Amino acid sequence: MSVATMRFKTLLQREWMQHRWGWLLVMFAPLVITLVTLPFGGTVQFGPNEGINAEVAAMVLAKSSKLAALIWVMSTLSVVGLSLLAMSFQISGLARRDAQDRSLEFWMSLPGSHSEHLGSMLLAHCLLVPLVAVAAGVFSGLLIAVFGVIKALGLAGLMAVEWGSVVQLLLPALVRLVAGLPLFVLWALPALLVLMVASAWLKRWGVAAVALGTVLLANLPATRGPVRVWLTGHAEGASQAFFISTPDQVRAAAGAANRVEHMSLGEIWGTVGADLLNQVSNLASLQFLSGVALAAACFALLIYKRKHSA
Amino acid sequence: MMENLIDAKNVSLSYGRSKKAVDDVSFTLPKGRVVGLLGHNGAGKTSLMKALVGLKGVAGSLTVLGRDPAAQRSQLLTELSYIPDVAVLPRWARVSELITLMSGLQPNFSPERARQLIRRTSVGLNDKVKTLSKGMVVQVHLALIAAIDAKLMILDEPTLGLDVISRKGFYEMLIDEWCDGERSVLISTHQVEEIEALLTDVLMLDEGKLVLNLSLEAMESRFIALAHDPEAADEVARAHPLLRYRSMGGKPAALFDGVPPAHLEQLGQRFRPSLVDLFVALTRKPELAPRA
Repeated sequence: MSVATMRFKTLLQREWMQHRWGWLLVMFAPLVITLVTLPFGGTVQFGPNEGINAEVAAMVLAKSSKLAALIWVMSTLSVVGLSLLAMSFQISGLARRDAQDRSLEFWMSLPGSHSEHLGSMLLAHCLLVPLVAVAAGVFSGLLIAVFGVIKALGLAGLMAVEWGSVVQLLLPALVRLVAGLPLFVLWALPALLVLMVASAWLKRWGVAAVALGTVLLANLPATRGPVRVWLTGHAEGASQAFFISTPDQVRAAAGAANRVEHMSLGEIWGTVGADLLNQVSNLASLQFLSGVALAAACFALLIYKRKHSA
Repeated sequence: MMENLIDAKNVSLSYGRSKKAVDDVSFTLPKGRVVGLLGHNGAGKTSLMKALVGLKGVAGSLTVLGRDPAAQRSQLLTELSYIPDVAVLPRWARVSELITLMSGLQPNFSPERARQLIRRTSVGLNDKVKTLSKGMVVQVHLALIAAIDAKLMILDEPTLGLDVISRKGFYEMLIDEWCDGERSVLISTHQVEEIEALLTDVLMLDEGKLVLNLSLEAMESRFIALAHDPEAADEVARAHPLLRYRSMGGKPAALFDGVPPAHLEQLGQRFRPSLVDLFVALTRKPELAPRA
């Protein structure tokens, strides 16, 4: 391992050491809350297919399996969603973190460039932690699903869950989620870095200034047009990073199978793959590249600020 | 083969357009020296040290360990250990975590040596920095820095907040264990009396200018102090000494740059001036009245 690689790995380890308890709290809070609250409240009664139809009906599954799949998916998504939400709140404060506790001088007395420090910080918070949150969500979602099925259908219901089929069904969604995360981060990065830059200079007023500036730019006659187009384009890019972006593809695949519910696993994988390719190809657009340019400019500003704070 | 560890020629450093923190400073630092960097608050010591480790850009020519500090800061810091200030260790970290991080960031860091040095203190490896007193944090920082196998150590007020025993212990470790005849130390402190015996050379800054760059041996032969009776005070004053003050025991004394006039030598007794007296003589503000 080269010295630079070792250094970057250590800087990632530093992020883990500093923020692990907060991250773990966010990742496992849904599990703990569910396990604590599950024994309370009444039992849940489902009709033959009530409430759990189309979402997980792509394969013909028993009621208990559908319920397990639904809980597993929702729990995983809630953990990942919470982690992304926590990251978006935390990111603005990261710009001033080391200057605020004066440790910047310590870090700058050791080998390592400002870009390595900032790069490792962004990689850890924006990508690695959400990816770990997916794993934590899958793990805690499985436990919640187990207890949820027991709560709703009893132990017999749990025994009836076809876990192999559930995993087969959910795996394409998981792959899409994991592959979508880097895409989401790439689309969201300009906004995150603008927040960091604003906080680096304006401290606690940074977020408010960005919000105010965005509202102003999106409403002033001179800037309204291009700013709104740009914001909408990026919001679409980020929102489609995780989910099927072209309903036509789904309909086309479903057409061959007559109904969405009866798509085969192969068709589901095919649809996910096509959608992912579509999303990746969207990166070669002026919209995305303008975001990259903005993110790069913000990164340079953060380095400048860090350099002059030491 | 690199002759000097530091080579500074006409180095200047400014903040904004008007404030010159370091003003046309030139000096060299050979191997195996322990150099004291002295100066009043705001004299430019910290700015010069920051420039030496590449944290501030300078005008002029500056080479440290054969490298341009600003352009090659990261590579330079692998061969150099630097304490920028006390109380800058991350407060969230445990001591053991700092050792782990230093091992990954500093290729010449020895975790075993760091643990060994920390065992000499009252700090535990599992202690969090935020639970330690200021003095204990300094002890940890010094132990971490002393565990780097560096060619040059740059210390900016390293013992601020340490009690006298810990200060003595650190300086003993520095001289007896860290310095090996090849490594050099540049140390800035206001506790001049405590480090005088350790130093081989002294650099004195005043208002950003280097007013003294001398070995201690040369200092002894160049600057001469004369203790005299109060009755001889006027006669001594007419010879324009660098400083008139009271020596140990309260006896009036005068400090001369060079040999005092022969007739004055008969009025008093020569003695070796302390670094503190020389520091006062060379860096006192002209508007201040002489001390004696």
